[in-house]
Amino acid sequence: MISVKNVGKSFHGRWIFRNLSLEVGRGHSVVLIGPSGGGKSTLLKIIAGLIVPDEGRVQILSKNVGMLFQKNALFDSLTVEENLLFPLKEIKKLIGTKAQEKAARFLKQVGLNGCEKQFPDEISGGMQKRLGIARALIVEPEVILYDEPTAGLDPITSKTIAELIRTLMVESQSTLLTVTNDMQRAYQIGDEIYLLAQGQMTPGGNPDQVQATKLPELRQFIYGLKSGPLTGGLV
Amino acid sequence: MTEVRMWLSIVRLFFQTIFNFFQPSAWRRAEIIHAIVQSGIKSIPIVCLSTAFAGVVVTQQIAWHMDLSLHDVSMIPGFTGQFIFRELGIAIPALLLVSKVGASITAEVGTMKVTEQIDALKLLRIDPIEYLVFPRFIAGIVSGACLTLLAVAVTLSCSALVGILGYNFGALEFLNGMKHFIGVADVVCALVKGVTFGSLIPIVSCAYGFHCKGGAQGVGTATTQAVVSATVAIIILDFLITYFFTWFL
Amino acid sequence: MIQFFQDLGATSLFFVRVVRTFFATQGNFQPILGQVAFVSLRSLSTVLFAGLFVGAILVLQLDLILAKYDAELFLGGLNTSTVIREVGPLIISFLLAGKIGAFTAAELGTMRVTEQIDAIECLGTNPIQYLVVPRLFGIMISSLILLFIGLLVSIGGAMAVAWFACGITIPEFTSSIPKFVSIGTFVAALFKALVYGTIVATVSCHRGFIATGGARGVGHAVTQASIFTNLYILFANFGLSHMLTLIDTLTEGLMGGSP
Repeated sequence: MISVKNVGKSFHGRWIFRNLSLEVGRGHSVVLIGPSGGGKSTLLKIIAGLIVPDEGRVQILSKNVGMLFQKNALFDSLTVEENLLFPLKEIKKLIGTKAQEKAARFLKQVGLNGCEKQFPDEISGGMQKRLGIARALIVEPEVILYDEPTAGLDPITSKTIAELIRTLMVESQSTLLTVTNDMQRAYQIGDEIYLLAQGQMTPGGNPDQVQATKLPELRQFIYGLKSGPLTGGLV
Repeated sequence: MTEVRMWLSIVRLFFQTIFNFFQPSAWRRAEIIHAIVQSGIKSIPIVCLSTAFAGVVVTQQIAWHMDLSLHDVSMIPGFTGQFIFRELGIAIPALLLVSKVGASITAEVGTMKVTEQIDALKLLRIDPIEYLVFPRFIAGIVSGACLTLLAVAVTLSCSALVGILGYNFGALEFLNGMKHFIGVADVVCALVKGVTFGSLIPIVSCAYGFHCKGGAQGVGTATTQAVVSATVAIIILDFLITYFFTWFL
Repeated sequence: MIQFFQDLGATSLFFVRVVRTFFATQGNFQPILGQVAFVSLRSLSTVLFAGLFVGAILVLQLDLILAKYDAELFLGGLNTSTVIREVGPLIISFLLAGKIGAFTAAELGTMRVTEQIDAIECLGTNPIQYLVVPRLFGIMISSLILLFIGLLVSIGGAMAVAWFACGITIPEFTSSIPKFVSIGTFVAALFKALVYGTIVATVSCHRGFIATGGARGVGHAVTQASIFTNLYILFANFGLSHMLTLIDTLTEGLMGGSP
């Protein structure tokens, strides 16, 4: 479904990564972990088509891509409900009561019914995340990209959000690519886990395999060890 | 160097915006009306208030100078009328709009940029230039023209009021004195300036908003730079347009 | 309307608070001087550029009008007088508001929303004394320096344009200046610039200092600072012009006056 071939990106003459390749099959969920500053979000934005790579090719077998942004990127001049109505109008050309019914259904699904008329900065961080997820999903994308879906949330909220992501994925039979540093959520969301560190992509296999891994860089990252192959690039 | 690059991207943004004229999808009625309310209608009070004060001050200044140099105040209507129509009634509202409308556009677009809202728009397959810049550009043209005329009218009336109350002119006498010195070219010049400044402000402000980087500080810096650049650009364009019109006036 | 007076009152109280802090802490001049240098250098290019063009615009406009009365003889005097009395102080303070006022509001606003001001308070330092006093007095003093430079440039620019575009030589230009301008005029302009500089400094420091809520809050603070600065300046201009013309007339009467 998503195919990344030999992609490279540089900023100010410094390569963040080169020759990265990644395949995500239809209906699969891949989680990307790795130290911050390692280019995970950049890769995600390249896949979303928001950043043009300096080399390599990205192919997505669907035009309908949804994305949850790190800072949610909710439209702060629109109410909670309007944040859902807007993509419906723009992409699905759906307006009026039909659109409102659909928005209400999604709000209920993410547990935000009752907040329709509030503005994004009037609801809590966890609620903003859930609204961001609802906005990404309301256009029924076949591919969904999650950029740090649980960053800055408490463990209970994170767990609920990860469960929500997984449930919605099964319901809509979509393909998922998630970037996170929270190992518990990575195990919860991912079918396969990849480590992106020092410009290298290391496949870690499924969550059970990752937990029992012998790969030194993966072990170092998961257990937060100070000594190991990962040095520079850790910010 | 960075400033040169910034001006180049402003010029590019201008042409990209112009290009939207021919795209039917760009004419989003709700957004354009919203932009006109934000940049035009909400600026009416501040423009009226400030130009009224400016009109009073400048009339008294001119009268004082004329008294000193010509020992004659009979020329006040023509002199103030011309000065207001050509410069004062246009430059003051333009500079005010930079700080009111320009600053808030940069702050708004810059905030959207640093909170990834612009990326979210792109992902919804919405062109940010079409959605954010074009409506503000149209609103800038409309309100630039209207506010300039309004400002000129307010300034002239206040000036006339000073003339009538302070220097014993008759109302008709004052108006006739003004009419004698103001021609069609003056009105055209005022409108050209109003439209130029009105369309320049949103383009410059949006360009700085789009180039905004890094959180709250980035938004603040971009807003500052946008205000300064737009002010300087207006002053220079004012000079060029004035110089151009000296051949017709 | 009530909101307007509330804002004005809050800003005035803030000014009083800063001045009191300055005197209570016996004033430390080192940071103020640093700020003066920073503000003046930062605004210099804009002031030079704008001053030149404003002088040029004004001389073109005046010449157009004066030519109709055959009074081009007065061009130099009228231009210089208008620049010193009205246009100079006003434009310099508008530029100062845009360049330094907005910058200061953004700077203090960012420090407020990223909790840096709270951090300073936690260290037992008074943030008003540490952050606001140098900026406020720095901007006030710089406005005088910048006005002086701006006036010189803009009169110079006017002379150049008068020579090239209106055919008035420099001696012709300068000969009519004394008729309209005296040292008193210049002092009055400096006084005006000081008042406007105080407005720019107080409003922008105040708006930045009370900013709330992330990037949007900083943007809002900057926008509010520039609107209110310009509005207050225009009000002050109204009051000051009246007052100064009166003083001008009175002193001229006392000194016997120029013709």
